[in-house]
Amino acid sequence: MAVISLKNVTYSYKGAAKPAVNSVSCEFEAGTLYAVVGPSGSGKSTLLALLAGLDLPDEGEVLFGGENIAALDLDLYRREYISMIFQAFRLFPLLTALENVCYPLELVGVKSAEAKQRARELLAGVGITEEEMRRFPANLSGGQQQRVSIARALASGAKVILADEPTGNLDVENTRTIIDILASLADEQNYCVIAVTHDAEVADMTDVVYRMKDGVLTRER
Amino acid sequence: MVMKYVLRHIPRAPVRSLLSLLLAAALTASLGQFIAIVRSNRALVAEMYDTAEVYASPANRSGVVVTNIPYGAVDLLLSADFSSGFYGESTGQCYWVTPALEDGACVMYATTDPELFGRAAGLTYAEGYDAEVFAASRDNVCFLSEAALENLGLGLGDTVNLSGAEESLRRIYANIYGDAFMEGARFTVIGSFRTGLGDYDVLMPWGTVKRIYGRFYPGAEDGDGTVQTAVQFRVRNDLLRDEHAYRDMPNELLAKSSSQSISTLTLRVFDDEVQNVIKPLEENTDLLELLLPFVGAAVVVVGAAIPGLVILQSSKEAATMRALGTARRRVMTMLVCEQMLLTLTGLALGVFVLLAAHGFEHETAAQLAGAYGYFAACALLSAAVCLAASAFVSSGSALKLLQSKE
Repeated sequence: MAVISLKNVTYSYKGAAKPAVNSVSCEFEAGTLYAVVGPSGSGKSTLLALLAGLDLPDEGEVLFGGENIAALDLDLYRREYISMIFQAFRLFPLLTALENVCYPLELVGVKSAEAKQRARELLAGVGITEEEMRRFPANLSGGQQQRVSIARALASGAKVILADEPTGNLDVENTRTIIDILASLADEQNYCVIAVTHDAEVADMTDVVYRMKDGVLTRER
Repeated sequence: MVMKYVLRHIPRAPVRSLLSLLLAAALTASLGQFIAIVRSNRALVAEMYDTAEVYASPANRSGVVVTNIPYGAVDLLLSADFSSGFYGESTGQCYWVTPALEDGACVMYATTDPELFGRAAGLTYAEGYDAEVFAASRDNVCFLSEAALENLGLGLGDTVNLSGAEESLRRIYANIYGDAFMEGARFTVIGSFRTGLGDYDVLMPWGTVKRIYGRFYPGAEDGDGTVQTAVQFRVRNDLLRDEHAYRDMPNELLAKSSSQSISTLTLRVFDDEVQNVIKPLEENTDLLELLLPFVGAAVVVVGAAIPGLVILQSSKEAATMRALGTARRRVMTMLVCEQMLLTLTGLALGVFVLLAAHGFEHETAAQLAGAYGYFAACALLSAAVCLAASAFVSSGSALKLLQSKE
C-alpha cells in the first residue's frame, strides 16, 4: 500500500507560463528507494516540496496514508511523518553534529539526555565517531555532513525520507556511502526513500526510477 | 527549547553577538551623551542667565558713560523695573578727620542693596537689620569696613557723626568721636563689610542719601540735583532673555522725561557676557535640541535595523527549521528572543557606560530622563523590526531554500 501518493497534482509558480508540476499522479511505497531524475527546471524539486508539505498544489491532492495533507497540520506533518535531506546538508552551523540530530527529537518533546543518547546511536549508525559528534558542521567533510543530515532525518522517526540531490555535493566514494545508507534504510528498515537526483549512477542504484520532464512525471523503471 | 537555542547561539557566534551588543550599547551611549549634553547645556544656560552680572550705566547719546547723574534719573530708572538695584558713588569724596586718617580719601556709596555685584562682600548686620531693612531705610545709618571699625575702635551699633563742609556734602568730614566740629548728623553703624570697598569708604541706603541730598540740594528729589557719579544698575536676571525689557524700555523712559538733563541720557548696558557667551551657547543648544529628534530617530532606526538585518541573515536557518517541522511561531520566537536579548543587553550596557562615564551622578541620571523615551522607542521598534524580519524569513522562503542548490 502506498505510504504517500500524488493524485492529479498541478502546481504553478506565480507568473510562470507553464506549470512546474503538471497533473502528476503516482504512489510511493514503504521499503522502496525511489529516484526522480530529470533535467534542471523540470520540476523535480517542486515535486519534492509538495510531497514535503512546504507548499500545497494548485490542483490535486498529496495523500499521506490516504489522507490529504492539506487537511493536516503541516508543521506536524513535516515534524513527524516525513523528513528531509538536502543537497547543501542544511545543518545548523552553530550546533554540533550531536545537537543537530537532537534538534528534531527536542522538537517533539524528547528530554535532553534521552535525545542525546538516541542521537548518538543514530550518528554511530551512519558512521560518525564520538569525536566527530562534538564537531560543528564547518569542521566536518561533505560526506560526514550528509551522514549527520541522514541521522537527523532518521531522528524524528518518520518513515518517509525526501532527499533533494543528496549526493550532489559529494565525491564518488561518499556518494556510494550515502546511497548505501539510503538503500539499507529502505531495504532493512522499511523506509520509503524518495531521492531527486541528476546522477544516472545514483538512479541505477535505486529500486524505482521516475523521470520528470516539463512538469510531467513518468515511470522509467 | 527557545532559551536553549538562544543561549547556544549567542556565545557560539561571538563576533556577531558582540557586534550586535556593542553596536546597541554604542548607539545608546552616544544618543544618551548627546541628550545629556543638550540637557546640561540647557541647564548651564539657565544657570548663566540666573547668575550673570549685567550692569547698566547712564551714558550720553554717543554711548559714553557719564558722571554727574541727576538723582532723579536714578529714581526714574529704578521705576523702570529692569534692575534689581543700583550702586552709586557720591560726587564728592569723604575725608575722615581722625588723626590717623587725616587727609585719607574715601568714597561715600549709596545703594539699594549692599550685596549687589558682591561689591561689599562679607557683610555683617547689626541686630535688627538685614538687607531689606537697609534697602528701605531713610534713617541715618551706614556701613563701615571691618578694618575701619577695628582701626577706629568702633563696633556695630555705635554712632558716628558725619558732617559736611560749607553746607555741602561734596566734602564730608566724619568726627567719629561724636563732637561735630561742624553742623552734621549722627549716623548709626548698622553693618560692616569685609572687602569690596575701600577700608574707609562709607556705604549708605539710597533713601538716606536722597534725604541728605534733599537737605543740601533743595529740589534734588525732583530730579534736578546732580549728585551721583559712576552709577551702576544691576539688570534683573529674569529679564536677561528679553533685551527689549532691559535695554529699550528704560531708554524709552529716559527719552520721555520732561527734564532735559535726564532725557539726553541713554542707558548703556554692559551685557557682553549675555551677547557673546550665553546667547551663542543658547543658540547652539537650541540647534542641538532641534536636531535631537532627528538624531534620536536615526539612532532608533539604525538600532532597530541591525537586529532585523541579523535575522534576515538567518533566513536559511529559519527555512531549515521550518522544513524540519518547527512551527512558524516558534521559529519567530527563537530568532526574536536572541536578537532582543542582545539589543536589550546592549541598551542596558549603553546606559550603564553612560552613567559610569559621568560618575553615576544623580544629575546625569536626571538629564537622561528624556533619553529613556528614545531607548524605549528603540527597544519597541527593534522588537517590531525583529518580528517583521522573523515573520519574513519563516514564511515562504522554506520552499525557495529547498530549491536552491549549492
